[in-house]
Amino acid sequence: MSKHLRDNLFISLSLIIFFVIDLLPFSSSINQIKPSLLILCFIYWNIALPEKIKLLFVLVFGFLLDLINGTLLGMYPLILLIISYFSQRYFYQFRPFTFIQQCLVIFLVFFSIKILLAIDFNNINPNSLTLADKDYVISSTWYSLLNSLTWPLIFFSLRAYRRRWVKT
Amino acid sequence: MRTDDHKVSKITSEAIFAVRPISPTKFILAFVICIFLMLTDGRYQTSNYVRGFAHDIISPLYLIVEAPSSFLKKLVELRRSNQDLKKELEEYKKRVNKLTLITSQIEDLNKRNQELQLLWEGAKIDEGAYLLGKKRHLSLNPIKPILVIDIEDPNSLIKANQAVLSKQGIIGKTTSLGKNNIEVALSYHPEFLIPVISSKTRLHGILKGQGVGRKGSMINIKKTASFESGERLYSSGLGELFPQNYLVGTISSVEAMPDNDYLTIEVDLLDLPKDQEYFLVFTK
Repeated sequence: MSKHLRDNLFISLSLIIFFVIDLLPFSSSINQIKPSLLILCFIYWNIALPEKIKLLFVLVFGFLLDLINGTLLGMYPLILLIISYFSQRYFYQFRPFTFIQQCLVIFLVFFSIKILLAIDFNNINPNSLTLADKDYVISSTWYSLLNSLTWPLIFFSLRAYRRRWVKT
Repeated sequence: MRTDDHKVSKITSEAIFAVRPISPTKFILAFVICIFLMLTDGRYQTSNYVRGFAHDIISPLYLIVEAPSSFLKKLVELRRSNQDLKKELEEYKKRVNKLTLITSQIEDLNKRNQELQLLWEGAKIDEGAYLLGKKRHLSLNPIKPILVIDIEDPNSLIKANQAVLSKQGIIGKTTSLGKNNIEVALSYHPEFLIPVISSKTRLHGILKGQGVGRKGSMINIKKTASFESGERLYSSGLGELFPQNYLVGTISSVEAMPDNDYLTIEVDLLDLPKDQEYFLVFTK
């Protein structure tokens, strides 16, 4: 098996594992704030091995997330595409950040995702462009906070995984 | 090494081994495609044609997710003794007998009511009109919650926009159909609209979902309407999309805001089907 294919397989495997973990059922209150491990994993691979994350990953996992979450088709590919582009563009700047700074960036990224997901593309509410209300903003803050706190854990676990299985 | 793996410095002519991100052309192209897909889906619900089939394809993933809980269940079952199982079987037999008795009584009552020419048509029990489905996946997306149900009969005549029932009442409608899986928009989904009738005042209205953790609302109800809090709302069957007389929710508050032409009516929708495994899909 070629090195390139082998690396891609191991990266895909890690993404699939986190995707399955994201699918695990929880209560509705936990579900609203539980971290999105797949997106965190995706950010890690974009920063660690940017040359290996191609558009195919973005589209495949994006459409899978759309299906699972019931969002508009194309919403998650768009989110992953933007994340992927900016991670690959600025990973040199992101890598030397301290963990607190990285967590802060992750917080902002995930908060933006939540706000994007609340945009009313179907024109369900004619009086407003967004479906977000006070409760939604509060749960989005908790969600972003938990994601940023999970980031170091994901970072170290995936780094160990990369050093063991993915040769660069 | 490929030629596009590195740039060359214009000053020193040395190679710069910088990693190239996704090219701007590819990025813009993918960005435009995603936006196009989103807009067409938002306008024409195009994804409803493919979602059901896509759930068919990824159904093995759902089985993987179910594996830990089913493994735990199996372990618990293994620990049980034969006597426990016999006891359980006896209890089930008793329940079956009881249910048979109740069904026969209902059928009897139905006949008598028909004889008396009462308005009992709505509560008529037609076994063929319902199809049993097993829960595959419940997505508690805070704004648009969906449920994926596995239908074992692929030749069933399910269409989109048909009612899905839980133990309590109507909990959603089918949105996308696959070969074995169907996607259901739960009653909390903002696109879920159902004509209802109130239990006490017998007034009609349309109930709309507002997202998980939020109450449903009745739309365009004039201030002269006399809805009361605590009233139960049942499907009225108007529009002939949903079967009539099934519980949909309970009115929790009725307010007449001075800046609104209509009443603000909040409704407690039925509980999310977290612990329920089987659902009925209305097929007629």
